[in-house]
Amino acid sequence: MAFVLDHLVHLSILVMLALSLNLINGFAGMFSLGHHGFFAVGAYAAAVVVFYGAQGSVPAGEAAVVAGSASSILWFVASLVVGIVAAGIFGFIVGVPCLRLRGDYLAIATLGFGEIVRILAQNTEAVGGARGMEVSYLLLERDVDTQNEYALLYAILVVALTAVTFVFIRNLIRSRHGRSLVSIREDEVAAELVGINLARAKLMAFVVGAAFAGLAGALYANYMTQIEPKEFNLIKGIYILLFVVLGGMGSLTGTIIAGFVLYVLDKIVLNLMPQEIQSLREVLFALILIILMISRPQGLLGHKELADTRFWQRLFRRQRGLKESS
Amino acid sequence: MSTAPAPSAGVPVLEMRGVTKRFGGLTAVEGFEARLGEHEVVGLIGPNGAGKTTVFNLITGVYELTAGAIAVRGRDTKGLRPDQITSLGVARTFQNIRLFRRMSVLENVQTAMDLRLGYGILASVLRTRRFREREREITEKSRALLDLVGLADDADERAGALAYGEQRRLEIARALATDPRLLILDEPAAGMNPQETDELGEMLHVIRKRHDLTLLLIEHDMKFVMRMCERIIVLDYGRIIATGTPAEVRANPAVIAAYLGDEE
Repeated sequence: MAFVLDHLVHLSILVMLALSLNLINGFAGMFSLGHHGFFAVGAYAAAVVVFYGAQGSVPAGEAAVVAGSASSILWFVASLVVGIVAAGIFGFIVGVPCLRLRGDYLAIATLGFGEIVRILAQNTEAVGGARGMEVSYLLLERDVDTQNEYALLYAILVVALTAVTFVFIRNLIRSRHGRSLVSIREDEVAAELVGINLARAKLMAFVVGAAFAGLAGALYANYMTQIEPKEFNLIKGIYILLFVVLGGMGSLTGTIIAGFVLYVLDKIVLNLMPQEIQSLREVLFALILIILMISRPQGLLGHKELADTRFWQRLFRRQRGLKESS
Repeated sequence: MSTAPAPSAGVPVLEMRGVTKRFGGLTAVEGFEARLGEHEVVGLIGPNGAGKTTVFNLITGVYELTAGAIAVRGRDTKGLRPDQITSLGVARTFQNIRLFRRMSVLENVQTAMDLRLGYGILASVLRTRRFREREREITEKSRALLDLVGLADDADERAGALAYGEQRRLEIARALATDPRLLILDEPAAGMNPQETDELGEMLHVIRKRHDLTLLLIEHDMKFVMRMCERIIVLDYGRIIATGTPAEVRANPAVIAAYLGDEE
């Protein structure tokens, strides 16, 4: 049970990251390779709140924070909020210079940002340097007895917040904000000439995308006992980028489906295959990517959502037909 | 005399004075002057490379002026971004069609109404009543515009999937969605057969009346220009070589020389 829930937490966090990346890369068409940087900012910001705030506020003499107490839960919520806000601010800071960049240049600049965050964390003693930071559990006491409870509680929380992310971004896309972003992706000059404020729309995408990556990071930091700089490397960024590209740039449901498939595949190779071929894991992903780019360059769902596909509509119509006939 | 004039009375919709654009050592447009009153239909013609599209790009703020001044409805556009100039009431179409190809026909028009929407991110995310009302309003307006250009039945089609002539009409609908006072058309009849060109002319007349528009158009189809326009400006090598009614321009030796070459 706890095993499945643990994977659910990790998968949900990755999906949350990928959904927010899709807003920037897929809908707004700004190819960013630095999303793991926002993830790191959120994680570290939350870790700092927990470490210096929650743990720091424990009066001398008492052993540690009491997980599950009212103040601990408040600190937990505060760490999420700070993670969101910090990443959002970084989204703005990265977004401003990136307004002038396009295509490969934007990709390189954002990639640079991701590396800077990681290396800064690695060399800053206040956040533990290369050792990383310890993050106490705040939500609930977590030991052998409560392992299942904790996993269940956290899984519910993370899945719910991923659902919120999905609805938030979907609603944003199906509004003037989404139309502006997609129109910029389609033709920047024409978009500006029908009255779209390019800078504002692009920055909005960067800030909102980064903020959700920050939330994912904060959830991640609170779930793990320990975060280390090396977890937030480019491979992480590429991994979630795969969710977006394979699912379809501009398809949120595609991101979720691709995320699920890739994650399960990854864990199967990691856990069930003999040790010798585990190192081939990344080769496998490269192969999947190459095959898909040749056979279906737009990704699984292209820029459609699941409900817009013929497959889904046929399924739906058949159900309705059955209802009518009965 | 007795009352203050209405804000727009007497103020030209577009005024260009000494407009000059240089790209490095190349002077694309020099000393361009124009004054377009309300409801005027003015043509901008000239041989290829004369600087016509550059003039359009200067009006819409895509290029920055090297010298001179442009005012839209009395407001100097210096330092304004293209989207701000659009909000002053200038809309355009493009020589090589620039639609949002992977958006639907309806969304293309809706996107151009963004200026008038003004609800925030939270309204979008929470689907507030204000959001729903504003969206319903612009969807109705967008459909009316599609009806006007004869694309009502294609609203849910992908814009890129439309036939060529339909794409041109969609560009016009999209331009109208910004609620312009001045519509500038870059070769609207390009690639059209004579019948389509006639229909376009009629459509533009209807649109101009209904939307209270001033039109400025670049066109190579001389029959179309002569019939549509009350006044024509002729450019050659970035300079105005003639202005006047179609008949005057047609008889102007400088214009004939520019188009046919000088007799030495």
